[in-house]
Amino acid sequence: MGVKAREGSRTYPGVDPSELDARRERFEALAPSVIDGVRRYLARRTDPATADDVLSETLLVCWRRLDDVPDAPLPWAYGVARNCLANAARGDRRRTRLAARLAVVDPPRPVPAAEAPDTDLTEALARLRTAEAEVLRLWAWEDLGPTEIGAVLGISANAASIRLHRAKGTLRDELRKLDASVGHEQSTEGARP
Amino acid sequence: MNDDDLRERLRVADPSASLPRLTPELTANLVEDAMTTTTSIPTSGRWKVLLVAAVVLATAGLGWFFAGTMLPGRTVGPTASTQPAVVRLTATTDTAKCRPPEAATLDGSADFAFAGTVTDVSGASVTLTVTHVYRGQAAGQVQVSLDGNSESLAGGDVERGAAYLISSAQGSVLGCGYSGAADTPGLERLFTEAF
Repeated sequence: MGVKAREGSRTYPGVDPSELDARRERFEALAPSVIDGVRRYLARRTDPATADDVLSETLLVCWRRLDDVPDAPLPWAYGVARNCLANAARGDRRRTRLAARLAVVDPPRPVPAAEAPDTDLTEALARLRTAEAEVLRLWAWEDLGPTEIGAVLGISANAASIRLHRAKGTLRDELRKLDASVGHEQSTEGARP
Repeated sequence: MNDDDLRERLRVADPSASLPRLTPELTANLVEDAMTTTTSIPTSGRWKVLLVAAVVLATAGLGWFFAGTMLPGRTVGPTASTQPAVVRLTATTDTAKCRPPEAATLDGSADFAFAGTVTDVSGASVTLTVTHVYRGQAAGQVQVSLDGNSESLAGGDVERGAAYLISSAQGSVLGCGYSGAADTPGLERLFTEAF
């Protein structure tokens, strides 16, 4: 049995209506900027069906924890989305399989980069540890600095900065290795009669 | 390859680049949905909830039986049991459509509510030592198994020593702002008002 709220009811016992209005106003002002950022964050990390679910869930958490939302809401909201996404990933396998099937039935829209995908980069990112790849994504895709990355991951700005620095180095190394192996294959092919 | 080049190469591969712009209508719908919500426990978790409820009832029943036969005339309460019971709960909130929590709803729904400190986190199970029982039987320890999505007790975030306020109904933790870290703004007040 869960907590069933009364559908359609707009009264909140114990809550001053004017306070509720103020709360709604704050949320309505805050949400649009958060929605677009979180939507992109999720599109980069999961299938469209899960992204939709987790976006709704993230917004619910933002609404319920409106008093906790800091002045810079986006990194905080990314952190919430990250937790919700991790929870979704821990959900039962049946749901995961269903989400995968839905993703196939309703395939993601074609991505322009797919025409000329940077396979080396994809491969290099895949070779990185999950935590390293994630700081790079937060840095390049979400356009965050170390302080904000720290806020998303729940670590200090200093730790985020160190992790980011190392991750960049590792990615460069992996890209170099891949370039070298491709170059080697090409030169071998060229030398064949 | 300098930082700018590296960042640019990553940006070109951004999978969200083709995501269409959000329409104002869709944004408004999402905002409204978040503020007007309901919650339910998923059907997949119900049998587990029933099982856990059965275990809790059996434990409680045994407690009452022994209290009744061995300690005649004494009531079962926090001071009555020499060996505090271990209560097992599940935390499942797969479907999270919630309204702001209300004390009246909490009062009407919860059959067990307590304040506790996390003493052990192992895998999908969190053990808390009870520091105060707001409602329900006396318990020394509560084990919460995190079944799937639990926003109120997100597995990765639960740390040993952290204080929580948890309410449950029939062995299932109430999410949606009715359980969470003790320092969650408004949660303690909600508990005090409800119980």
